[in-house]
Amino acid sequence: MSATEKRPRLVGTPIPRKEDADILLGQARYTQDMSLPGMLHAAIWRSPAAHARIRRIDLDRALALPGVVAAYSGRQLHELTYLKPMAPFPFQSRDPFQKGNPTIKFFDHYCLATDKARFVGEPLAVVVATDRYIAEDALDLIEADLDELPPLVDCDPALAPDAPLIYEAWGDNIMLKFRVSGGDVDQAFRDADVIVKEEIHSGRFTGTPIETRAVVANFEAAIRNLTVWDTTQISHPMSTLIENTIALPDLKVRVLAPRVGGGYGQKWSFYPEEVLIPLLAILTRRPVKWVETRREHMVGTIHAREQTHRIEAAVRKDGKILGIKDYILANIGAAYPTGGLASIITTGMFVAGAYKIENYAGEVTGVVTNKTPYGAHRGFGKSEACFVIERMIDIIAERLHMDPPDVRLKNFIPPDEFPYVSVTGPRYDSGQYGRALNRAMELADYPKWRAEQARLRGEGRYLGVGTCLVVEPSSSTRMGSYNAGYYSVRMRMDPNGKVAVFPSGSDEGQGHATSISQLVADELDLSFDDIMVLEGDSLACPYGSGSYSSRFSVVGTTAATMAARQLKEKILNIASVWLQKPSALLELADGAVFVRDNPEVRVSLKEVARTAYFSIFRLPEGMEPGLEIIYHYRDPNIEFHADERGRVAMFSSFPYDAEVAVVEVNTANGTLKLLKFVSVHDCGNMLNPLIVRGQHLGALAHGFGGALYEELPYDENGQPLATSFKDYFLPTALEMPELTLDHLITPNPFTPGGFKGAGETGTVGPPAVLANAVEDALRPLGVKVRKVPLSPFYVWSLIQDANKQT
Amino acid sequence: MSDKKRIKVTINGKEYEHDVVPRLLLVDYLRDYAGLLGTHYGCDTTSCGACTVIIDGRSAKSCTRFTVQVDGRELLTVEGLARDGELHALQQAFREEHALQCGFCTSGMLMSAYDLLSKNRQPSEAEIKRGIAGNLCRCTGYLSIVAAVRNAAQKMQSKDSPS
Amino acid sequence: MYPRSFEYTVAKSVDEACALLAQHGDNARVLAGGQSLIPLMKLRLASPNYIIDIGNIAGLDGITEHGGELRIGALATHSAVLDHQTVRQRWPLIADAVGVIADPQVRNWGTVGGALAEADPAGDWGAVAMALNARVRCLSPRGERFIDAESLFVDAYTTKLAGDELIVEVIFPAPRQARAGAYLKLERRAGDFAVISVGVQLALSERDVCEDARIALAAAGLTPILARRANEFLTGMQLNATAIDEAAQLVAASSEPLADIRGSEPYKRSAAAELFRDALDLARKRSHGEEALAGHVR
Repeated sequence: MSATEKRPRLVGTPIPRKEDADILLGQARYTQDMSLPGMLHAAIWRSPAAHARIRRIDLDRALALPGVVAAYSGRQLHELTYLKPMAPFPFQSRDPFQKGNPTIKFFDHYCLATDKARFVGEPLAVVVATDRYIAEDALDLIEADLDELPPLVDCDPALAPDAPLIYEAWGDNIMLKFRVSGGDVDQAFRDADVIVKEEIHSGRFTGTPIETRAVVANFEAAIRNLTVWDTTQISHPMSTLIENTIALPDLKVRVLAPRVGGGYGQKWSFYPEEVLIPLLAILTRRPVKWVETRREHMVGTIHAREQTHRIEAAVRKDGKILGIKDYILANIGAAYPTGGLASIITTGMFVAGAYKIENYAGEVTGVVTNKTPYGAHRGFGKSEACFVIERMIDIIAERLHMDPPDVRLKNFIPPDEFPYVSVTGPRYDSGQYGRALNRAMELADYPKWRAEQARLRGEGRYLGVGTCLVVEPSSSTRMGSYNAGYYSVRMRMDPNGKVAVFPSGSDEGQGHATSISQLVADELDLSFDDIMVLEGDSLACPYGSGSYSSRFSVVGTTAATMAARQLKEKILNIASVWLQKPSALLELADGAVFVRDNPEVRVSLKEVARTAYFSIFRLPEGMEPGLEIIYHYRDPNIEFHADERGRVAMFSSFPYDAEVAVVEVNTANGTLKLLKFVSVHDCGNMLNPLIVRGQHLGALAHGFGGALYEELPYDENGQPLATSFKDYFLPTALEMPELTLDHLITPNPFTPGGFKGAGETGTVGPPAVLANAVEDALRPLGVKVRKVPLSPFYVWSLIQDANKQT
Repeated sequence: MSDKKRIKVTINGKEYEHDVVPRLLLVDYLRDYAGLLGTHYGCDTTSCGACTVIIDGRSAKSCTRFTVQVDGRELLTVEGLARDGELHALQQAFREEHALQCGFCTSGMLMSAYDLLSKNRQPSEAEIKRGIAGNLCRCTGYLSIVAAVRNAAQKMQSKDSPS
Repeated sequence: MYPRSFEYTVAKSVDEACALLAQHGDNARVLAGGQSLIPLMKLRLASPNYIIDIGNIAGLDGITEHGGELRIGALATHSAVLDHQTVRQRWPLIADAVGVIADPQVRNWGTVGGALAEADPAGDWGAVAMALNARVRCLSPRGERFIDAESLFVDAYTTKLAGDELIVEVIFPAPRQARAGAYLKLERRAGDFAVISVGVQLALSERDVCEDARIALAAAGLTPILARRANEFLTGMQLNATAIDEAAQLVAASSEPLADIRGSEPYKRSAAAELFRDALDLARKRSHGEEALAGHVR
């Protein structure tokens, strides 16, 4: 390479990750790997009952077991004057939009319940011992009197006037009410030729990262420093949340996320254990570790998606959707501070999906029940909204005797109307929805499958074709919450010219270190290996809101890019003093700054860096020493303030996915054979196509899980029926079908890189497209698919029910 | 309280000797006694495979083995795959194919793949999927892992073939 | 996740193991592969005070065929059976079944004897043994005895074995027509417990007249089930569409599945009938000398 040539650009290339070597060698350290001298182990005693008054918890026998150091119940901890109720994450206040909409009721949860148990798995007591085996033995010795109360499992009984109250002070079981509307939905319904009314369910589902949660805490009493290693997506907010909940004077909390084994939103929450374990470290004056068992995870880590939509569409006979009314009931479970409220509000905002629907009224009711709390999960409310609207499109098509893709094409937001302000406020940045759907249908050979369908119907066989186009808004900001609308990056070039980057987010497997290194390497023409990235440390990294909503691609990359550019500007300004030339004439390449038209005139990058740190007398007048920049990037396409109708632009970038699925249904046992699956994904420009493809495939697999295999049923006593991987069917490699993948690139117009989020979109489509395909297959039998997962038993039951009615 | 048992076990070519209680699960022995943290805990029902190691040449879920059962045996964990600082063909292939994201299932996947390739040097796609059917992954969707095992099989074949 | 404490001994012989079992009674359990017992202990659903490890006893893991009769030692692992040349070539019903037990790691260490003694209602080896009319050889302080698979299972997780008695071998008599067998399992996902499993072993003469049929089901009740009425019905029948329909109904009727998250009783019966048809078809093809592969069904 010559002295003036830049290195090949890395952004846009499928470069393998720098994170991988440690992991592959077994040297990566996850929270469950943390160990400190004198460390104790906690085991949590969780409620066996769905709803019960706590009369008595007796820990004496547990405490007497050799090896047990301490044990506490909720009432005992409640006596600590500095222990506050858990702060209402993700909100900062009880009226987050400051408009009285949504209205939210809160409850003072403590890290161990004091008065009642409100779901199976709720933490009620804790034991701390010298090892986890002994701590578990001690749990066997806890005696408790729990007066069982009638449990509430579904929304409708919880809303009945005589329903038992889960939170007595509320007077009812409604935690949240939110209304959002745009246009004139009443007029739209008057103008309609056809009104289509449906009830559609989105089933309870969760993320189950292979790494369960874990918390390790160490308290340095003399200086009141509390260090918490936590499998969290939100190190900084967590440090604040803990400080606000363990309100010891002078307490300073540092939260570190070591390598995290998958998040998907399950680790974007504020959990009781994140208060409890630090509290135990304070009380015992020893480090304390808790590693969640899988059973604890299935009951004690958030669930998501459980909603019922009573939806009406006003439709013109040519297929144009004039308006939608949607009454949404979300089954929140117990009212812990989990981010579930934000998720269901989001559902209400995105029922219009990819479509130009200009009249809308949505009402969201968050109902508390005696189930595991509802929280954030990949798709975050938009998956539920997409499921519903994509099902509605097919149902409308059937009513109008149209082919579903044609209804979609008729109603899509046209490509020339972007940025498009949707009926509930969000400004959709860019998209080519029609092109994507047509491409998916072309790759699937849609006409061939329609012909095959007709032929097989003649043989008494049931083949179906489904389509969908799902938009998965990413990078969210929410007024009055920890999603504060900016992303900060600190970037330092050291005296040797190597760069350290401290982003304010976190990584659960997305490859941020690699992505940032690609960006910085290109901006500063450095070697990929000379860049180090540290994330997830609330002390070392600038304050931020963490990782969620696929925002890194949008705001994280931009912040890193802008920080690098500012650093470059400073480098060139220092060099301009050295070289006595204006910085506009200078170039930075391959470890040197030189005059563009006269490359012989140069100074090494190392020399510039050393100047900044050690020879500050050579700096330009007024320039600060050092080469360390902090850049705060504000999310460009959002609005903070909701209007009086609840409209607000909460998400800034809009990746999407067009899918076609072909299935054959075996009516004797309900099994499905997936004959074709096409996904055309558009996440704008791709920073690292290898990583984007990994997100696309992984998210699709995750979506298949929710579409076909995974559900979280409860019995009528509020007992969860899926509490391990033996009854929660996470797909294996053998379940992965053959996939046809393609992508479009419609850049994000608001950011320099043009990237949109990529991590969630794939999860959203499969439930909708497969439900559409199965209903299409079974149309001759009059089957209506109203929920997922499409387990063989559910599909078979649908066929039986349809047969009974004929 | 049960009596401790003295066990001797060879792990990645190195000998270890400890007194352990019978109920100590092998995964805890590896992590807490032998200091090998690459083998992970992911579930309680022998489902996820994040704890997979090789015992006497056969893959095993170390969460479903008592330490006392491996007395006198030879174990291989993920830490034993690389030799003299060189990544094993599987490790290289996983990196090339982006067959890991969060990495938590990866050590188990590597050991299952190692076991498969030790018995079947040119597995088909279906055989690879069967070979890793005892290992759960949530991040990748498995197809890149299948590609990585194929890639590794080819690397290992060409290393063996005469030049 | 964390078992309770227990005392542990390694038994060096079957006699020693039986003696220890007799000594400790209900407080003791035998540990072979541990792939059934250890998961139960981790969930604290079983907490024996005394564990007798028989996994190292020599001479109990052989797989041999003499005069068409297959003998599998109780400590043979599922993997060893699956990889065995003779099993693959001449006992497809066994090969099919073992191939869908759990996953590779569990198959590497779980044992045939352990699985049979466990008597899990969804366990495949019980149905396999019934479909092939096997018997188990058992040893106790009172000596040796043989128990037919048909009468081995008494209840869920309960066999006829005495508390101090061990299975040492499973003996499969030579089938009337080698290779004319198949086993299929309907699962929610690979490696899961069965929704229902069906094994079919046939002997067909010309024009597909069924000289012998044995159909057994797993996950179809508290114990594995021999579909006697279907077996009787098919004997002497030509396998035409009507006969197969009738047989499928009889198979469904003979099962007594329990409703759970995998399905209701009517569903499982319907699924059993459908699975039987597929297994029968496979067995028939193989009896004609065709190569036909089973696989995961879901």
